[in-house]
Amino acid sequence: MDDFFRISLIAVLLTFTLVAYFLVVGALFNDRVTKTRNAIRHMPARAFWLGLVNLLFFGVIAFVLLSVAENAGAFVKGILTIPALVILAIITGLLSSGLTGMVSQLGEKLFPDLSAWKQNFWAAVILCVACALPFVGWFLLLPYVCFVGIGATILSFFQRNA
Amino acid sequence: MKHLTDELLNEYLDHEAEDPAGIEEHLASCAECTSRLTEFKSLFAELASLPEASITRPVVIPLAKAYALPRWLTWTAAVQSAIALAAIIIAVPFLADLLPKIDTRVLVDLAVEAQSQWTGLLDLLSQVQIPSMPEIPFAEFSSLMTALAGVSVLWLLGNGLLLKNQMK
Repeated sequence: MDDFFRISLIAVLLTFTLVAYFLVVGALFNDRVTKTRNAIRHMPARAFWLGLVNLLFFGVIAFVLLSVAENAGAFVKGILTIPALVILAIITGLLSSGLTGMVSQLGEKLFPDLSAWKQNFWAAVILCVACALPFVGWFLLLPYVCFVGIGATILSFFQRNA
Repeated sequence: MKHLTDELLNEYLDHEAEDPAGIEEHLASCAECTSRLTEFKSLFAELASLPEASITRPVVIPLAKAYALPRWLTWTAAVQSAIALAAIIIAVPFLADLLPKIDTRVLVDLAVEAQSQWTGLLDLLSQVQIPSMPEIPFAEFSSLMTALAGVSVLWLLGNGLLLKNQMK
């Protein structure tokens, strides 16, 4: 029973932390998130494949760099770890913008009558809960959302200004 | 000589001045005030000649909307909420009885099993060996470098195709 409550509490806290994170990212990088949302709205399939290609590529690069660094000496380890961490930081940045755009798009679709921040709040809660669904959420929905998010963020950099 | 104020001139034009005779007396002897009065007269005549503009947008409805109850707060929603609240109040004692009987170990076991499966999958992935590539005599590439080069080419191709129309 204690384990159950502990897991539930962690899940709830994590959800609210993520919701707050998405709201903050949306407020700080409004232009980028708006462009990302437009890419998700107009080119979801292209965003998915672009995200898949880039996440797998950079993921493999970071993984290889970290694996090689683990078996190398101290100096080489430092040299290899830094680019790996930079790659991971870039992926995290792309993912943050992408997921915020996804949340914004979901909010607009699900709650058209609410104000913008309420749309984002409830959409983030719903997305977190949906991704927490065992197996389907973990292995299908979450990767899909991540791929689309990263791809849409990359597409947003190539978007012409209206 | 004290000149007439704009207010006094306006009141005189509107026939609401308290002392019209005094104003007329002053105007007869003051060219500056007469000139200002003429300017006011022409301005008002110009304003009066402007066509009546009709309001294209309703003003009352948006105000009514702004102060109206939110869309979700309808009678139906209120009745549904009341019924749901009543149902919760009725159900609470039953749930309090039932909750301790639910075996929560099943849920924890499920989570643990899922975690072990995920760990197993990761272990399996880490054991995958990259097939050894045939050595190229004129270029000493390791299999890892060859694999990375192949992945890079795929990445370039993929990005090139997917961003083809975006980069114009």
